Amino acid sequence: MRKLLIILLFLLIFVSACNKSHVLYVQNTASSDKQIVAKEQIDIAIVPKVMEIPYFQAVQEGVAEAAKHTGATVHFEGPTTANAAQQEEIIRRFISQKVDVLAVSVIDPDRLTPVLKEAKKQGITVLTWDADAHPEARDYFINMVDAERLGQHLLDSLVRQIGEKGTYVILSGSASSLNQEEWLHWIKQHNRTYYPRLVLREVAYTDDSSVTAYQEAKRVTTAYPELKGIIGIASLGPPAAASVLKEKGLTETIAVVGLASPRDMNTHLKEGNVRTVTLWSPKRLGYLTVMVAKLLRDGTVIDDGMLIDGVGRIQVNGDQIIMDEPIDFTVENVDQYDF
Amino acid sequence: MISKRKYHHLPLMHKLLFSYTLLTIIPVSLLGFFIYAAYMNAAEEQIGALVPQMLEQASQQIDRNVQDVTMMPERIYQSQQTIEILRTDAFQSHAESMQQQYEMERYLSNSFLHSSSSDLLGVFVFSKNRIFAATTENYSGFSKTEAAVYGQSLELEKGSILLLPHETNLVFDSGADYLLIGVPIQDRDNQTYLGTMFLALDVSFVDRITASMKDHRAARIMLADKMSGRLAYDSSGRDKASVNLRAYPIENGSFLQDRKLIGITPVMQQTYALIYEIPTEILFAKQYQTRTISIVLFLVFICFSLFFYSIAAYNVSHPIKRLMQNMRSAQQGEFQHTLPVTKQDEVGRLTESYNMMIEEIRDLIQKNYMIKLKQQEAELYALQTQINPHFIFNTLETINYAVEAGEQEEVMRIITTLGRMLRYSLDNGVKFVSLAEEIRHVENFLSVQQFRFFDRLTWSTDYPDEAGSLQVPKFILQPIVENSIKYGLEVQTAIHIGIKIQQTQGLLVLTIKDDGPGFDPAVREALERELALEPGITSKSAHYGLSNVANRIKMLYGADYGVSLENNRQGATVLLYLPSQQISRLGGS
Repeated sequence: MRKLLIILLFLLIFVSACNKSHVLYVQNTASSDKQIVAKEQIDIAIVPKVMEIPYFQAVQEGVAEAAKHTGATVHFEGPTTANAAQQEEIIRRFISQKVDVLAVSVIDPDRLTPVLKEAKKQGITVLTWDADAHPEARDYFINMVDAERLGQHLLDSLVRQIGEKGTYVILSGSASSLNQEEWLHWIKQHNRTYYPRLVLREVAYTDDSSVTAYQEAKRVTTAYPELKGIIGIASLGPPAAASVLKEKGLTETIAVVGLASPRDMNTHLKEGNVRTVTLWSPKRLGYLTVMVAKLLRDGTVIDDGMLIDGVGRIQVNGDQIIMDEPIDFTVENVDQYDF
Repeated sequence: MISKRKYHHLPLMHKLLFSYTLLTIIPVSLLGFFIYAAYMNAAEEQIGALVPQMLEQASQQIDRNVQDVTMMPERIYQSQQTIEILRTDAFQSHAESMQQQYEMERYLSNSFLHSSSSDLLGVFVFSKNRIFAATTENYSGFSKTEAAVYGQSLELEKGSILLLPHETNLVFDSGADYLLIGVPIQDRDNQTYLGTMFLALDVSFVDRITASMKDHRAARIMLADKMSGRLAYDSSGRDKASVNLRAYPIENGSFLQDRKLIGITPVMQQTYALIYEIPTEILFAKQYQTRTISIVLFLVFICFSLFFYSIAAYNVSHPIKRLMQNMRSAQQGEFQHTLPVTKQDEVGRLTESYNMMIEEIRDLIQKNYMIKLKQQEAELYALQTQINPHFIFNTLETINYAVEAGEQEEVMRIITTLGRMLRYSLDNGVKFVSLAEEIRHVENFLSVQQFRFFDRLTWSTDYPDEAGSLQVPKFILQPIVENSIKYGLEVQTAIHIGIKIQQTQGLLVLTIKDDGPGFDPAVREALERELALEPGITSKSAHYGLSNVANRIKMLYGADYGVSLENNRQGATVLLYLPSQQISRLGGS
């Protein structure tokens, strides 16, 4: 009797000690929760200033690449000419299609602000890229380069060729373009601070048209015979200026710097008409725009120094996302770029 | 279990031990067991919660390390020169490609291997059928074949991959285990694919991270591929290639399995699992030791307590048992033994009471018995010393007549005889006399009576000479003879009394025969009934003399002896049966 009890007791103790598999603690991780959330299919609409110029075509290639990578549905549509009314119409159509993200390279900020605000009101994430709108009309502006640095860099490039003394003109796109105006501001600022003997004669506008750019380039070279340099801050400026200088045989007296795609400048660089032009990768910009749209829609917070797949580290300054440093194209490297 | 009925029949000692076990040992064991179980549970849960937390931290550190390494290819974008090398294709002059190879590898070596304190064993860049490598030690494998394979397949994935040594043919001469992290390199400006960079990360970095967790040498830390269970890292160094992750009940947490405490946490985007394993006998060595000591102490305690309790139970049950045995012998009439009282408890008092009771019973028996004996003795004494006053009166009257008649000689004889009689009866201290003496006394008595009745009374005695020395009680013949005379001469003018002694087979028979009227049948029946009664219970009847004789015989010799009455044709016969014993003067008291 007593034996039985003791045996039972021991049995009880040992049984408790040799359980097969006894879970002690289950930990929940935030990362595993995040994985569970299904990635919703999102619609991203990207609106360039114009469709058929090399710059925006390069952007479109980057956009397509990113669309393939992220699996998002991406619409890329812009006006055939740089027409604000036409752009507004396209934007309205995208709003009615209830896209999730609208990313616009803004032609005319004043004109587009109401429609972008409306899009925002409807719950669409509104981004601007390449050219900004008024800050209240969008969530983020995806900037290619830091405006101050670009302005300084462009002026420094010119000074390296012509020295710290002389006159120059600037070929801009349009006075309504906010970022071109900002670059202009920083060029002037830099000029005042460091190169007091360098004189800016005029700011001419190309209206994002090759024809106007050519005419304006011709006009300034004629109007200012002592002219030593031209800075183009819209992508059509430098090719037009280079062509004019080549025609006039002024390539040795007037230096051209500015923003232009390497493909447009390839011949001019190789012929020595232009020694260096500056730009960023529009492909990368397109890619980044889609990535940012996707990240924002997924609820990710965009941080300064964040590494974006296929883009690299970005800078974030308030509601501005800055892609990269500007790239200089010369005769040595111009063949490496296909835009 | 034990039935109620069976329990009731158990001896007291067993019952006591049983109830002690039931009330003390079992509750104490259960209490001990539950306290131990609760304590172990708490300890297990505490450690069980701690291990995943430690693992989580280690996992985060590993993640960070791997993430840092995954981020390292970013450096390549900072060098325009290397990107330009990667952009050019393989078909160039030998000198130029050698120059590029040199520049690329120098860059990799400087910015990846020498610049950081990372655990990189080597950096490999596969690009357009070229392979650029910078390693800290010699290696084999990883030729252009792999360059072709990884150069293309990764292009589609657009993300980093993790490879284990068994998945590639890369072998370092030192035999170091590594994690191979493959990261695609893109031409971001042109959005084209440039190649893949592989970074071989020495897994010993896990050692460093988990060093704090290995305070127990027996602890084993493993890093396993979640899909295949293959081990990328094993702190024990045992060459167990894989673990079965499906046998684990959870993916993140801790549990006990196969006498081991196992903690598991996913790491590297859930693709790997960090596993911590420690045998419970080492983890809970102290607790188990305490448990063993407790059990041993408890068993010792049980043995001791059972031993002492047995003694206590024996001390309770033994006196009761002894008391019971004593009572049983008392039941059989044995009142001689009392029990020693050693204790003042209930059992002691019970024994005491029992002793008092036994003593009282013994006293009562003795007192009653002695009183009875004394009474009878007194009665006998009275009887023995009894000379009927009536007889004395009659005799004295006879003497008176004789004196008046002047028969001097006769008077002398009567007085002498009477004197002899008185003398006989005065000799009180003697119970037994010889038969001759008794017969002589009866003859004296008859002689005295003959003075009164002359020829009306005649007698004869007949006994063998050798019978004269036989022993008989005093005064057993006189009462019977007295009766014969009394009743015979009431109705008849003359009576003859014959006394005959016979001795057969140790039996002495005294026959007193008369030729009187005999016993009246009713009287005889009553007499016989009375004679058959127990000795000492005598009624003071008319036949007191007869019954007294019968009583005395029975009391002296037992129920086998006694008196019987007969009616013959003429008169009554009284037979006295006695044992035939030689006189012994010492026998009297």
